[in-house]
Amino acid sequence: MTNDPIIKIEQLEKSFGDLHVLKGIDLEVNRGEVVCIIGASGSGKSTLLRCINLLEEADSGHIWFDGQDLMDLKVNLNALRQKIGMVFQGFNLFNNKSVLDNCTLAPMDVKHIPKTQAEATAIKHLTTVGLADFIHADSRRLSGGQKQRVAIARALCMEPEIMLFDEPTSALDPEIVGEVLDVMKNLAQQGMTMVVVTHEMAFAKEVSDRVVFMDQGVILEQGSPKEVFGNPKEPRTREFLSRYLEDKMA
Amino acid sequence: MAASTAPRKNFITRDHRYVYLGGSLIALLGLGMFYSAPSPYSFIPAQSVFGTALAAICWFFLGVSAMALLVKWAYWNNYSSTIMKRPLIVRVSRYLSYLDAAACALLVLDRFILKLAYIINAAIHADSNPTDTLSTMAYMAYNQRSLFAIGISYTVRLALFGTAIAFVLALLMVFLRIQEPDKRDNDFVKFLKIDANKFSRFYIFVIRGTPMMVQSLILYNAVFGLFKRTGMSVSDINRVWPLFLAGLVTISLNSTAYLAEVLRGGILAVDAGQMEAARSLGMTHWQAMRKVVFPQAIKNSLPAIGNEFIINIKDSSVLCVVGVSDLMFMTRSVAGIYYKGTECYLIAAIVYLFLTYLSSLLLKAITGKMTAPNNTKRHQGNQTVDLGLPSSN
Repeated sequence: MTNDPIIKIEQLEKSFGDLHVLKGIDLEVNRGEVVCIIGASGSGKSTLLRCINLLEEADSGHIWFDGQDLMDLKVNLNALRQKIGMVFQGFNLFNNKSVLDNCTLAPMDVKHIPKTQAEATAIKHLTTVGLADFIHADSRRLSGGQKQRVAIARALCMEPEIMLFDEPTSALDPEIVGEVLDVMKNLAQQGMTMVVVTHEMAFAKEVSDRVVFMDQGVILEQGSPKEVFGNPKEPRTREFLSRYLEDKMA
Repeated sequence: MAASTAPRKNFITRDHRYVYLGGSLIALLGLGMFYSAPSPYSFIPAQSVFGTALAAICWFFLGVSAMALLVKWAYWNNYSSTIMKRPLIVRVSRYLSYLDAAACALLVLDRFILKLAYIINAAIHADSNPTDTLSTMAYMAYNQRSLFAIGISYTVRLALFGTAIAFVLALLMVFLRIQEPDKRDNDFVKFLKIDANKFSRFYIFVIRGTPMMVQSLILYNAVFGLFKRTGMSVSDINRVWPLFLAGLVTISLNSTAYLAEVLRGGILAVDAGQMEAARSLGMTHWQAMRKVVFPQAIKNSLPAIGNEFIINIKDSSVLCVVGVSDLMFMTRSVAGIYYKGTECYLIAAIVYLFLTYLSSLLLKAITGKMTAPNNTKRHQGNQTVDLGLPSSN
C-alpha cells in the first residue's frame, strides 16, 4: 500500500437541524485500500459516506478527492460523481428499466459511450457479478441479492476510481448476504478502492485493510482489523464489539 | 383469459344458496311481463301455447319455491336432512331455475325490449312531437340527430384535444413547480428557479380557485376585445378566434393546473432513492428526471390523467355559455325548438353517461396494458444476448 490518499477528509461537520451528526471527522483513504466503517446505528457512518459524493452537503470542513476540494461550490458535481461509485442499502435500481438498461443508462447519457460498447461493458460486469443470465430481466423481479449485485455492476460500468458501499447487505436476508459479500471480496482483490459502511464484522475482519470505528459523530478508533477487533483501545469500541458478538451468538 | 372464464363456468356448474329466492323474483318478473300488454312486434301473444308454457314454467317454479318454504318452516332446525337438501333435488331445482331464467329472458325480450323498439320506431316516424316522455325523447333525438351529432363531436374533440394539450403543458408546469434553488446554483439560476416555482404556484392557485365557466367567459371576451382594438371586423375576428378555439384554450389551460398537480403527486410517489442513484452515477438533475423519474411518475399518474379526460367530457358543458357548439349547447338549442326541457336534458344525460362509460372502458383497457407488470415470471433461464458476443456462464 502506497501512501497515496485518493480521499482526504478534514474537520468535516454536519448537522440536520439540531442534530449534530458529524463532529469534526478526519479520514484518509489511500488508493487501493479497503476501509470498513463500523459503529452503532446513528453514529454518522452513512452520513459520512453520503457526504463523500455530496448526496449530503456537509456544513464545514474539507473533502479532497484527487486533490480537488469538494466543498468548493465551483466543483463540477456530475463529473466528480462519475468517478465515485455508490451502492445503496435499498439497491435503488431504476424500476422502469431492464437490468441491462440500468447498467448502460449512465455510461450512454453521461459519458456518451456508444450503445454497443456500453452494452458490452455492462455484460462484462454483469457476468463478473454472476448475472449473465439475467441481462434482459425486469429489474423489479429480481431477488434482493440479485438486485444488489446489479447495483454493483451498474456502478462499475462508470469505471469509478472508488466505490462507496452504504450498508449493502442490511436489507438482505442472512442467506443471501454471502452472494453480495463474495462480489465485494472479488472487487477488493482486484484492487478497487472501497469504503464500506457495514455491520458484517466477519467481512470487515477478513477483507478490509483498515477498520474505522465511529461513535456519536466522531471517529473513535481506527487501525488494522487485527488491532481493532483483536485489541481495541477504547472502552466504547470494546463495548460495541462485545455486544455485537453477543447479538450474533443469540 | 382462463382466469376470467373459470368463475363464469363455475357459476353455472355450482350449487348455490338462495336458488328459490332468486328464482322466485325472476319468475315474478317474467309473469309481470307476461300479463302486461303485448306490442305489435310481439312474437308471444297472450293466448299462444308458447306464451302459456313460459308462464307455466314461472308459476311452477313459484310453486316449488312455496313448497320449499313450507318445508323449511316445518323443519326449521333440521332442514338439511329433509328431502329438499338431497343432492339430486338440489341439482334438479338448480336446472329448473335456469329454465325459469330463460323463460323470463324471453318474456322480457318480447314485452319490454321489443315494446321499447316499437315505441321508438313509432315515435321516429311520427308527424308531430308525441306527448309521453319516452316517445318525445325518441322523436327529438331522431329528428335533431344532426345537431346532437355536432354537439357530441365538439364535446369529444374538446375533451380529447384539451386533455392532450393540457398534458403537454402540465409537463412544463410541473417542471417549473418542482424547481428548488440549490446552494451550487449561481444567482441568476437561483432567481429563475424561485420565480418559476412561484409562477406555477400562482397559476395553479388561480385556475383551481375559479370556475371554468368564468375562465371561459373572461378568456373569450378578453381576446375578442384585444382583436377588436386592432381594428379588425367582427367577421374577421370570428375567423381567427372561433368559439371552438376559445373553448379548447380554456379547457387546456384549466386542465393544465389540475394535471400539473396530478403529475407532481406522481413524482413525489417515486422513491427518492431513484433520483439519488441516478445522481450518484453522475447524471444531471435534468437527465435523472427525464430518464428515470418522469417515466415512472407518468406511469403512476396514468389513472388520474384518464380521470381528467372523463371530467373534461362532462365539464366542457360549461363552455356552452360562450356559445361553443358542444353537446350541452346543442341540447339547449333543441330544448328551445320544442319547449321540452326535461326530455331534452334527459337525452343529454344519457349521451354524457354513455360517453363517460365508453371512455372509462377504453381507458381501463389502455392504462391496464401500460401499467401491468411484464407478464413474465421471475427470470430463471438462459436469456440469449443478441449482441454477437460470446455468451458466458
